[in-house]
Amino acid sequence: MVELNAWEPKIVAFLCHWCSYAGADLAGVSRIQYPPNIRIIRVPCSGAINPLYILKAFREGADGVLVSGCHPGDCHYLSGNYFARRKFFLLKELLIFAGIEEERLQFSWVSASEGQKFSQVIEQVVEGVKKIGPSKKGLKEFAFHV
Amino acid sequence: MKGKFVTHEQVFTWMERERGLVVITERAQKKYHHLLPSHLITVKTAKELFFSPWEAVYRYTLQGKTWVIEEKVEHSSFPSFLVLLPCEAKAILEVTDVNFMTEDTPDLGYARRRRGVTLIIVGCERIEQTCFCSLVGCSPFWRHRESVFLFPWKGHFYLEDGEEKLSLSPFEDPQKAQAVETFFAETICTLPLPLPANFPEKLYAHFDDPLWQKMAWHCVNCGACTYLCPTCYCFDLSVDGKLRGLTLHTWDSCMFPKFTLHASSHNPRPTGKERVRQRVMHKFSYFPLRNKYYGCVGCGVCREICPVNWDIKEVVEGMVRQVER
Amino acid sequence: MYERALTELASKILGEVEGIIGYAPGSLPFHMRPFLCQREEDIACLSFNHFARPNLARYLLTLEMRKKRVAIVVKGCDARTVIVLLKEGQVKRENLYLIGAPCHGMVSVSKLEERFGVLSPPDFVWEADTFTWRGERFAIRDFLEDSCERCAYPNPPWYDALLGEELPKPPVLPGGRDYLGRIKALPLEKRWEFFAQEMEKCIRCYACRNSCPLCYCTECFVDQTRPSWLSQAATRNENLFFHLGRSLHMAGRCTECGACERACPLGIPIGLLPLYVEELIREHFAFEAGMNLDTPAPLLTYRENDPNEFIR
Ligand code: SF4
Ligand code: SF4
Ligand code: SF4
Ligand code: SF4
Ligand code: SF4
Ligand code: FES
Repeated sequence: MVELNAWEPKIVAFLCHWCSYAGADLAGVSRIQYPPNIRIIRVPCSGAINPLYILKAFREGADGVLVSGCHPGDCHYLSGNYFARRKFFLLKELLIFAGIEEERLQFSWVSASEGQKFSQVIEQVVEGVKKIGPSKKGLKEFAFHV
Repeated sequence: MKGKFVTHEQVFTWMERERGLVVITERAQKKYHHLLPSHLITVKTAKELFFSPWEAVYRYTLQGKTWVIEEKVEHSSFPSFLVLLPCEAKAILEVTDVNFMTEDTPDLGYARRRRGVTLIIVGCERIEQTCFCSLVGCSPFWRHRESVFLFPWKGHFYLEDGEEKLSLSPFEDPQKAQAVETFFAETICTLPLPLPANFPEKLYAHFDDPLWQKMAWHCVNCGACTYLCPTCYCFDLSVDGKLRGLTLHTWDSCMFPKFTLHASSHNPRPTGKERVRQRVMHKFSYFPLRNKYYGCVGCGVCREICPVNWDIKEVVEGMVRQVER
Repeated sequence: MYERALTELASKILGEVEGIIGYAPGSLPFHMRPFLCQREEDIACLSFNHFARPNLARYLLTLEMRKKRVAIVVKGCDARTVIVLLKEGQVKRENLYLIGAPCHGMVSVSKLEERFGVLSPPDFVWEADTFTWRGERFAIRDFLEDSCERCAYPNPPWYDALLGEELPKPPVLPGGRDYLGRIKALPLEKRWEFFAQEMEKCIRCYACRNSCPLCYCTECFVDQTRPSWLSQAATRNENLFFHLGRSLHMAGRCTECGACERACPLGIPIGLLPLYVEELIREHFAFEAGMNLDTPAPLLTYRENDPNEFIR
């Protein structure tokens, strides 16, 4: 049994190489503190994220997923994030419709210079996921792995 | 004279008492909900009790440089009785048992689950529109010496082999039992005749018949018919997880493109025609040639649930005409 | 229904097209089945009624059909899936002849059984909007398949020939039949309970996927092994993964024909997930699938003012 107050959520963060990943780097270099719960996966652009990656992260045991890309208008590939935003919106709403807490899947726009914002986002995401607890009913509770 | 009688109440109370140990198939439940307890555990198909839709066989982990492999053991409690219709019972006793409980290489999971379970067959008072059991050696009153047989008869249950197996105390009424036997015999005479005796051999010779193409045309190759068929027993072994995970034993269907896909990417059953032909051939030729029983019990489930009304009875009858031509 | 119009049209166009994909009476009562009419003598078999449930657009994609010029009988929703297929380059316009069938809705056998018990065909006399059972009159509307209760487009938006007259737009559903609304009104936990329960039932037979004309991938994501997205085991969560994934693949494509849902042997209302995605798309991206060839698919375009509030 995992004691609840000892429980730390596992959060998978898909970060765009050109902005949020650099933002995370900046936060590190500037020694800005943020919770250690995230596992970062670097992607070339938020537009490169197949929604199945997100579902897969949950399936493999993530308690929460964060996807972070460049601010609208700033995408390195001009419009990758605009296209992505539509997919993300649908996925997020669909999960909520199916009864999965909205805190499980979160999104942010964080630029390379926003180290501070990055750490805030992580704090908020971790806090949100902590509030709802381990992903029991989400996609994680796959009979074989528990 | 084998059969005796019990009251509805005797059967009902017996099932109530053994509640946790008795499982009933959905079809039997639907047919006899007015005579049997309503809260028994139900299964969609009889086979799934023994041949699980999925089960883990091994758990594996890479520890350092060695693979640690543990066998998955089940410790869930298991029922002792399965209440089902004659065709469903025939499917277990003469198809899936024959396939999985071979003497030399039994399927361990199946055998473990199957061994302690007694089948309670409840004969069919009414024959559904989709049934065609009499074509394939089954009947609405099909019995088997290893199983209990019940049949509702004029306010009682006619009972065979239930005395010791269920420790019921039936009463004898030879005259009434004779009436039941006569009823069975007379009803069977009115049912459609079995398929011609050497149909499996003849069908085998029609492997390349162009009729297959025509018949297969509208099947969409889903797995609904095979998954809900009481006799279909194909499975797949796959692994889930790279460095740590499980070896899975899951249902599979000859309707799926991956079923016969080779590692070389060659597929000997590339289109719907080959897959549909396999399904029919397996049940009506390969299986009976090897095991003397048909691999289809005529339950009609597949006819009922097919989304496009692809009808195995009609196809088999078409093939009978074709081979006799 | 439409038998005369069908036979007349069929005799006119057969020859010009190599086959007509239509419906013929099935082997069981209350069932119609897909039928390929290729010869003069087949024409008499063609028919259409309240039991023409399968979406035939599926058959345009079989190998033999792709090479041919064929006519196909389409209801409103089916016509829309054909338009999606055209838009996605799966079929060629010059190979197609659309026979539109204004649709009064498909009748659900299980709803009939619920009301009348064991069904006997001679008890029923069918008309367009009503039927009689042992002389008593009932409205078709009360026995429609769920998907047809929700239908907004009974007339094909596009056709080469129409059987009969266009129908008026169906009336807005009374509150109780608003399936999505009913689920949306539930609290989160209840919604989860509902879907978890349905997913528990799913056996992953893929009848839903294989009946959907728009699920035409040569290799579906559930069958992929490099990487493998999910396992073969039909557990609740794996099933949910499959259905969520499939619904997203349907985004902006699903025409709400309900073929998936009607195909499910376990009666899982699986169409609700793609349906909800379509509702989101209608509301937020102002798009409906299969209405014309020109409007770009919603996931292949964007607007700067698309919803953004959900992103920090
Ligand atoms: S016969 Fe029917 S249920 Fe079976 S695979 Fe074909 S379409 Fe599916
Ligand atoms: S009738 Fe269909 S479901 Fe029943 S045993 Fe035969 S093939 Fe299987
Ligand atoms: S048809 Fe039904 S049971 Fe089969 S995979 Fe789809 S939802 Fe699951
Ligand atoms: S997902 Fe279902 S409702 Fe949508 S087009 Fe496919 S079959 Fe029709
Ligand atoms: S679910 Fe997705 S991958 Fe599978 S067939 Fe449908 S569209 Fe293709
Ligand atoms: S490059 Fe960052 S979102 Fe496209």
